[in-house]
Amino acid sequence: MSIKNIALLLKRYFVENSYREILFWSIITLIFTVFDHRDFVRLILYISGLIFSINLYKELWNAPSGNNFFLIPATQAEKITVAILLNTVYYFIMTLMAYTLGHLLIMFVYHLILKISIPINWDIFIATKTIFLNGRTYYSTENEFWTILANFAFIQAISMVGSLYFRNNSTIKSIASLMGIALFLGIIQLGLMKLFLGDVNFTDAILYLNIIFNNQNMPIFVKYLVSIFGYLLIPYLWLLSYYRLTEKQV
Amino acid sequence: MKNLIDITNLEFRYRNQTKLLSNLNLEVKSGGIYGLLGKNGEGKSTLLKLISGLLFPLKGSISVLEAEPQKRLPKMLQGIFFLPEDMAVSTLSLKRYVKTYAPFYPKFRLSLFYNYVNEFGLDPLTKDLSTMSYGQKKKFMIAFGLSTNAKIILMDEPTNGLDIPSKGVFRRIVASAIDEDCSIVISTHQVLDLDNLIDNIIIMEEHEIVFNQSIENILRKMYFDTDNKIKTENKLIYKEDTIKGTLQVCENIAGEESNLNIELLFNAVVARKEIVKELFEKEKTRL
Repeated sequence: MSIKNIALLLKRYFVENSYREILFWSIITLIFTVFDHRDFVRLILYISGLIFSINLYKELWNAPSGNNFFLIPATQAEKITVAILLNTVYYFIMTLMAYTLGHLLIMFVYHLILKISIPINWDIFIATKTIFLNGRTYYSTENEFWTILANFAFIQAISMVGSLYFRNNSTIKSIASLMGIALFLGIIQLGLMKLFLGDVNFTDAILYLNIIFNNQNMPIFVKYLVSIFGYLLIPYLWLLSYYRLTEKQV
Repeated sequence: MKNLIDITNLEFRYRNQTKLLSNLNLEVKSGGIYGLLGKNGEGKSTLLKLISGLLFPLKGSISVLEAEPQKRLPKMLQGIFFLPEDMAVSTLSLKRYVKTYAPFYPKFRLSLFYNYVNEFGLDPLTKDLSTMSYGQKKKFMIAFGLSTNAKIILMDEPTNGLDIPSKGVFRRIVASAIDEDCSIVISTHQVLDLDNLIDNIIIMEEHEIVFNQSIENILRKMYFDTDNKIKTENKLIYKEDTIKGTLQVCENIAGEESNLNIELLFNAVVARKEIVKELFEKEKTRL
């Protein structure tokens, strides 16, 4: 892979879409000045990221712009790398920047106009967990940065594959695929849990999955297996996008 | 002269459609301007897309600059420029477009590009390429394509939308752009635009290439009578009646000189495919 080609492809994207990018991130920044709750920020990140990723390859479904894309002298690996950099790394960083800027902007406005000082509430990655133990309630906070990043990368990867496979309504079809894959993974997970933790009963043709599940009693290797499988799905989907791109014709 | 494009037994069809190209063989050598002619729906544009790697063959092989085009390797893509009939031109300014896309082509010559822009009468300070007319966009893309110094330049209906003076400019700059290392393939229905420009003619009929000869060879083997003078010494291949009189193509037995009439040649090849094939194969056997 040539770094020069990747840089040129990135430059091409930003030059071609500079106006749209500035407008979009300005709007997102303004939204974050008003709505800055962590759940809302995460929702914006996931949903707008998904739409961004789906639209990234829209040009391939139109013959003139598709011709233009494929005739650019760069390898398909370089082209897919640029797409991953844009829809995962760039989009994630830009959302954080927009959130920070929106946050600072509203603090500045409060401080300057309303003369109120509001502390920085930079908690989008912090999750508060409630634990009930021995009749008492405990609260603990956990940093979920890597989980959010992995979830985001997964959503972006699946929507990228979707945009390369579906011409029309790729958003809906990608979400449907996402749900299909979630269901498939759920069944696998259930199967694994059943295998290691539970037993099966048939009563009146109803299948009871009698699983005694607790995170604590899950065998450690199963825990690792599930997370390794989950993380490996992301590069697998990137690879799938690459192969789809190499076989795509205009 | 080496082969820049080599196609052997090519077969292609679009999904759920009947075969578009079958048993197609083609050689394009360096140093020539090829005119690709054929009726509508014969697969000329498809052939150009296959050569540039936008479509993949069903069977057979394509070699472009000694590489498989379907692999879309940068080295091959740097050596080929395809100007499709429907182009995607961005909303960038002319200068910004060149700054963005020219670095992908290591042999791109900026001075040459501005020369062509000037010859076509385009405004180098154009702010938004998408606001230009279809003809202006075409001129811009021709100028850009020729400035890449690619070894193979494929043009699909390049003169469509060009005004009358620009067609002359087009012929002039294409003729000046050719050198012994590169080749230009022009697919068009506007045969008059190719007059005195091309040096090879490729004709597609019934989804295969039925004719691929140099102009020199054509004129040596065929006599084009467009002056209503029926020459009895030359064996008639094809004739057609027009309002201007009878036009005919004969076997050039007497070795006379005549002016090529591309339209007449095309009609002759399509109507008398076997006779024309035999005429040129006879030559090959004799050689």
